[in-house]
Amino acid sequence: MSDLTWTLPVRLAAASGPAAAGRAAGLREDDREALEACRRGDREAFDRLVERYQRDVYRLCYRYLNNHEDASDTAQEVFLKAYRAIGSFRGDSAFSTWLYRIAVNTCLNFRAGRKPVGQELPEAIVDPRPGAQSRVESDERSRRVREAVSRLPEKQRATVILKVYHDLTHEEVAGILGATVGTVKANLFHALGNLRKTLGSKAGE
Amino acid sequence: MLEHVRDDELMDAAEGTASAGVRRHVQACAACRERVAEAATGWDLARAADVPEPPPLFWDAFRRQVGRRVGSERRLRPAVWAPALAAAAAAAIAIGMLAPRPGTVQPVSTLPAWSASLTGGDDTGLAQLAALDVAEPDAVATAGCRRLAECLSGLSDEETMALAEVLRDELQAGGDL
Repeated sequence: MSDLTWTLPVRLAAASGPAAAGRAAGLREDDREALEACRRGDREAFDRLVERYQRDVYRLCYRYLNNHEDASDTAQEVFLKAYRAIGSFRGDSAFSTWLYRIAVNTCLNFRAGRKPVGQELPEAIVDPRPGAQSRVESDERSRRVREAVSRLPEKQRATVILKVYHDLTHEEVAGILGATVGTVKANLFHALGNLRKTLGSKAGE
Repeated sequence: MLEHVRDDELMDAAEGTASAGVRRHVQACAACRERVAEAATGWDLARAADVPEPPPLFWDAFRRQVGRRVGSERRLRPAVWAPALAAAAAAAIAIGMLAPRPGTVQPVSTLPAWSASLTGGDDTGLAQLAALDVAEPDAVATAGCRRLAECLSGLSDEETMALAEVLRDELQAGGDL
């Protein structure tokens, strides 16, 4: 065998979205300006931060909680906590990384306090347009994967969500979860193996 | 006997960042190679899962709702106005101490109505308070303003009402000094 041929094909895929852009250069300049304005009491500045990161935060919460209502409520809570604590953010990390830390803790607390309800946005409406069937199948695959992720042990789930879906580095994940980089990598390795076992070689199997 | 490598090192192998020693081991060890391949497949499976997109109007509504909650938070947040309140309360005590002895003190019920404006010339309570200005310089500084009047002018209606309550109580207590 010449070399390893099973390395992750998407590992180096460029991360997209505001969070990824922020991590490339630490604290984004527009985030820094908004944060300074927030500290001066400019509410519109915080509104801009919400607009910039609401999708990332909502998606993280959805990955954790697996339903729209809880994800929406928890994401709001995340921003409220961020607003309260914004004076303590020193800018040592990207603003998104700080938000993710708040989001993970908020989701963990939420899950600890409530049994999962498993309610999702309605997805099974019949759509006669071309490609509708494949979209339904894709949605079904996604649902199965999300359920498999939600059944992972707590630390493995957190690692998968932050690393696979939010493209954080191992170091950033370690910082958020309060773990060593080695532990994060080991947790991710176990989590991916577990997902493979749970889902088969294809999520639709 | 072949010694297996750690799981974090196998993750490195799956990501293509493993050291030469780990790579050699994985190439030679079928069990580890299998586990690395499983992790790579698990990654592909996980990446393929999307989160359902909320309804189109959701994001605007979400932002507005956060804005409303932040707005009410600002109105009630004690961190901002509690030091000003403490400074004003201290000043109110001082007013009580400086005021004429009981018998000549104006009854509480005749205190001028409190208003959010510090410029009301007919508001003698506020005028006295503003004149004292820095009865508690540390507290005023903590509130993030240079002068007591500046602290007070930044209060919302709700905060002003709360302050009025405290002042009323303190003036009442001061009358008994």
